Amino acid sequence: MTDAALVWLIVWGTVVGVDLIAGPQIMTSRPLVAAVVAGMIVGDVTTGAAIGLVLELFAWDVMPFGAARYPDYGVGAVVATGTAAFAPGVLGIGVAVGVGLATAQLGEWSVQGVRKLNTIDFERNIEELENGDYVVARKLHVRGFVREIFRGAALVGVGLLLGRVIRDYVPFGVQSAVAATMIAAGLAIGTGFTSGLRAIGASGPKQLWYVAGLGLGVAWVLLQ
Amino acid sequence: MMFLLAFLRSFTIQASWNLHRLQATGWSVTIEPLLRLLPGGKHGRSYRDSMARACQYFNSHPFFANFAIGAVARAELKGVEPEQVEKFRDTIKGPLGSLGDRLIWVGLLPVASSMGLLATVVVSPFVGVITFLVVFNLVHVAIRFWGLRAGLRYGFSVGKALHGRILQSSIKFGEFAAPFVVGLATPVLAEQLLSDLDVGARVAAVIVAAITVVSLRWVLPTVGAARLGTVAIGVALIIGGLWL
Repeated sequence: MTDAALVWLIVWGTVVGVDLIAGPQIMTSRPLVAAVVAGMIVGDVTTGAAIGLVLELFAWDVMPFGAARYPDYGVGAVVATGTAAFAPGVLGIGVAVGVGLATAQLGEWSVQGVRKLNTIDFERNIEELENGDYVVARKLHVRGFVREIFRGAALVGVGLLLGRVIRDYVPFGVQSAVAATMIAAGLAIGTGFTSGLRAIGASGPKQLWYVAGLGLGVAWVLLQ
Repeated sequence: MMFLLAFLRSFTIQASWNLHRLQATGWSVTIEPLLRLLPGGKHGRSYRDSMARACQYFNSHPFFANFAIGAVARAELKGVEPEQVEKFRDTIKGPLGSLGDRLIWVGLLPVASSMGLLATVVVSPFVGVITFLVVFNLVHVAIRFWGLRAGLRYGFSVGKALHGRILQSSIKFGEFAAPFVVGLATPVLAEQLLSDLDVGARVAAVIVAAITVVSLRWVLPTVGAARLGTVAIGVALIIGGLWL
């Protein structure tokens, strides 16, 4: 990977990290979008799409209701694509997905860290806010946004470093890489299926629609 | 102009989310341009009082919060009693959160995601990404815009807009469209993921998928897919490394 590609990957990862919560929430933080664009940056769209597919199914597991905590799969997808780039065939994908999932998990914790810092900042300025001081509110808001930018950049940097260390220093052969890819694919399919089951719940009509879709999907696969 | 500024700021409503008053700061920054229209403008007493109320606790669905922001802005501009404004703000956040969760997270997001994935597999990754972003954001941006407008138009009667036929039909449509599209996408994506593996690895992947379903659904429902995946792939690599 060239230095320019690395810089762009970090910039893109930061955008993706900020989009998750801070805004504008246009879903660049979804793994499919994040990974395909990351693939374009590193010149390997096929790998980006494969990783996006796997991690998007993982992201189906998340229902971001209320103040729920959830992994940052978008940054994970950027990191995974950067880690897998240029590995031959499917060999890089399983290992990269593992690195991406670990990064996504770190992302969940980092969001909590930023929220705690925002809380401290808020409590320090509560008197001015209670007095209706808009300038203080605006500064608080901007600082929150800047924290998210730093969080995104740091997360993608740490993730790419982790990927580099694992790729270069952990001894695993072709069979381990294939096994990791097989496990990643199985986990993604299982997670996708579980999310479908959870979405339909105990509702009769929803179950019927799900079964109809499933049947059509199976027919589609068989007819290919 | 002030409407446009408030609309654009609403996209960052969660940027300063905190554990004390959740979306409060984002709310106050979003509503601020509209409060400049109060008598005396930015330097008036009523502007300052309204800003103080804007910093109170609030949490709702980020896309649907604009309904409440518009309604409260209208009430503040009309000089409604502060107690009534606070009561409305407190009452509306739950229903807006529930509506947003049902329409966006349960309906729209799975539909957009599944359509994007299917387009990626069938057409190309670029088309997949565009499909996802366009389907999702057409609704997303429209809701933010309509929410702020409806709030400013109806004030505390914004429920009229929320009970409208289009929104209610969309929620119902999403609740059934999402299971259908997710069901359709699952086998197609599974086939795509398995296509690069040899027969033995395919069988093993299907077994892993079955174990994942049992784990996430019944055995370890609170663990989450990311943790399960990190551990499973990590263990596989460690065992593989030791084997070599």
